[in-house]
Amino acid sequence: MDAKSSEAIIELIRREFGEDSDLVLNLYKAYRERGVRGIREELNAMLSKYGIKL
Amino acid sequence: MSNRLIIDSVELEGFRVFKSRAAFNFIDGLNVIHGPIGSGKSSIIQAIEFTLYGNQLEARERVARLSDLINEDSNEATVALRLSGNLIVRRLMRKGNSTYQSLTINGNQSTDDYLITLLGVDDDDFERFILISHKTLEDLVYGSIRRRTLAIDRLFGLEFLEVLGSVLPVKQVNEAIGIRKQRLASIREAEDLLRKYGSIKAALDKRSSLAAEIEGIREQVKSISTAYVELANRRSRYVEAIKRVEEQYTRYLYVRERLRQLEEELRSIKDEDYGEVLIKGSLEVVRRMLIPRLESAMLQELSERLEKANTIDELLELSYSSVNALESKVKELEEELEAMRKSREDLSRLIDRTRGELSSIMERLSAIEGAAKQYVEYVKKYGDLSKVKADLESTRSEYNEIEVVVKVKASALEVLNYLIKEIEIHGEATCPVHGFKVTKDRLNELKERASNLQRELSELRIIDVKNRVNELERVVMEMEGLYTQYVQYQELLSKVDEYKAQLNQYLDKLQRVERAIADLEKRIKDFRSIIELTHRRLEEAEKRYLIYRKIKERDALRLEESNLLNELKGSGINLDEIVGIDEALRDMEKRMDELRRRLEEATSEYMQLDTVLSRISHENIDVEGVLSEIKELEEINSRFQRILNKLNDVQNKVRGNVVNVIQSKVVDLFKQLYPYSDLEGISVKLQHRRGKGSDYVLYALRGGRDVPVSRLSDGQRLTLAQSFVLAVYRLMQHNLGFILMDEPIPYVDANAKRAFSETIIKAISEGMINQVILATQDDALLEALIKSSEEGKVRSNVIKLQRPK
Repeated sequence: MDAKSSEAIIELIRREFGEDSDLVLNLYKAYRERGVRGIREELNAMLSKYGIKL
Repeated sequence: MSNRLIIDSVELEGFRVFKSRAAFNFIDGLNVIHGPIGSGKSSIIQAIEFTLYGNQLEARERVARLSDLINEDSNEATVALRLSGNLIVRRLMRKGNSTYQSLTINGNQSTDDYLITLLGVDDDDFERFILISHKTLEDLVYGSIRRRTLAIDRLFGLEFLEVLGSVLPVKQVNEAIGIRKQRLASIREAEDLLRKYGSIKAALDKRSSLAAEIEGIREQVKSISTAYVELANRRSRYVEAIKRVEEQYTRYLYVRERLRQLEEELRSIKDEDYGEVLIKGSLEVVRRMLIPRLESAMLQELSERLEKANTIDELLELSYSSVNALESKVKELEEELEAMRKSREDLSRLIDRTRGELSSIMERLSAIEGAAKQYVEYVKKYGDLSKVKADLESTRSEYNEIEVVVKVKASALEVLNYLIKEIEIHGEATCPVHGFKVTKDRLNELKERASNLQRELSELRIIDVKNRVNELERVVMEMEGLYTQYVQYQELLSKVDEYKAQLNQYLDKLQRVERAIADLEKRIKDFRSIIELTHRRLEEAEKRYLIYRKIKERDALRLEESNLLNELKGSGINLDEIVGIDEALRDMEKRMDELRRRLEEATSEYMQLDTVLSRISHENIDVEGVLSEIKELEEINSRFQRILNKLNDVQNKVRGNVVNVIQSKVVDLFKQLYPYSDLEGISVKLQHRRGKGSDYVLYALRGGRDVPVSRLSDGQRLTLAQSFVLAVYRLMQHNLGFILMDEPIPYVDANAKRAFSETIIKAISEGMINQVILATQDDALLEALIKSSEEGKVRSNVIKLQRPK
């Protein structure tokens, strides 16, 4: 808690999400850069080929 | 805190309402930018943010387009900040290409990353605890628990976890899987088809190969059928002739077939190895092994029957019966052995118990042995207890008698000694007992009598008798003390004898049982080995006997075949031809059966395959593609599910940590900022939601009780919200000594404004922050801030703005 919040969250995600940490980190990065819209854009990029749009 | 950066001034030109160059100076302490709507208060705050974080304002949707920040009559906007006296940060942006920005630090071109390093805080954290909006403050202390939880998470930079949980499109992915499965439902067999053949192409190839195979089989069936009809016609020509010798012909066919079978079976057999004598010899060996065991097992009758057996069949049958009988016997012996072993265990337990008891008696014996021996010693020396008691009584009587005599004589001696002494001093004396006078002339007589008395007294030996009485008293006392142990010792001695005898009895019995067990084990072992050996030999002999019988049968059939052949040839039948035809017909029938079976299988498979493939082709579905998409989507979904499941754990864990931070930091800060006695403090707990998730629940302590935050006044709530923000401001590592507030409390009453102002001033005076830059149009808030700063002796600076004309 006494460090920068983003560094603490990145460390937390790496530690807790195991094999899924890459995906969660990508989504976190998108959130940091573009907010909730960023997460939606990332998920859309991942799922649009299946006809899913958020 | 003192080394942190504060804003000395901001210069702006072409930025929002400021078309011309404008400059504003700030002080270390409280700065209030005050003016009506549209006068440029928020523009100054936004200019600071723009200078520090540039493009991020648009990226984070704080402005729709960055170019909107450029004054509508200007082509470019420039903002320059002077920080802590010597750091000048300038950012320029041009219209038409708002992405073009120039950033200089102290006149040198620089980058956003470098600036962030200097500030020690990125745009995200800047928005959390440097630029404080009324929304941040309100969300922390107003509204639902859920809203407050999100606000606290956001303040600590943890809201991503909650956001992620609500954004992951598990439902949509499930729906997409469902739609695809529905499409495939019309051709349910498609999945089985792919599982079986691997791919649609492979299935198509298989259909083609099956069609070719079916065609080939039909051709073969056709040609075999033609050949079969031809042969059948040829055979019919011999039917009349065969009818005459039908019985012999049928027999001949059987003999021929059977002989062929036997010849085949016996091809590698040497006849001489399977003679009757050899088989009988080996069975004789078995008989000799079995008979003594049968007798030993008291199976006399069977033994006699086996002895009398003569033929191989009899020998085999009786030998097998004997082996079976011996097996039953072994089972009986094993049961007996089991019983013996149990008996041995019981005996061992009895022996152990008896030994244990004996050992405990021996211990007790050894404990009282000294006393018993002592008693025996006394008996040897003084006789038994009753005798010693009798001696004591008689010695006591003797002592009493002597004591009386001694007393009399001692008194007389005392009187004599008195008289002798008186006479020797006064020449005469008066008897103290009788009162008569005694003169000097009787002195010698008196002395002699006194001497005699003295001698008599010493001869009485009263001391010896007294000593004897004492000794006997002591002996009686000690013997009485030892008597019980002596008696116990005697009883134990007799018990020892009993137990020893018992133990010997058990040991003898155990020895007998051990011998019986050894004997039984030996017999069982012997029987078992004989059973195994004889059984193996019997099987071998039986096998040989079977071959022997087949050899016999073959020899007989050979002879019969030769006779039948001669007979049939005599009847004018070409046996070779007719037998050849019959064999060929049989082969054809067999082959036809095989082909028909395969044709049936191949046709069935072809029909199924063709139906499914036609349906797929008709509905124009890319089955492989759809299945592969389902698989991918299922993987994505399981990934999302894993993330969601983990998310809940992680949120609970980090929120637990936040509760600890709040308890240790925010609570203290609240106490510092809110010094009034109507609230004793605040507390926070983590409350688990129904299902998954958790929320922070805030309480204030009033009169020793928890009071929900919703019951607090606006002023108290605002102080609590400020405590949160300041706690995070202090906890996070950064280089900024200021906070910015743009209309932080728009909808509160005068009391709340006063409380808010006091808290801000206290935070500055306590050194928690160096500089506050606050923009407001509210006159009452301005007044409250100025009043509080004066009371709190904090420097203040008011920048008054007018709406541009």
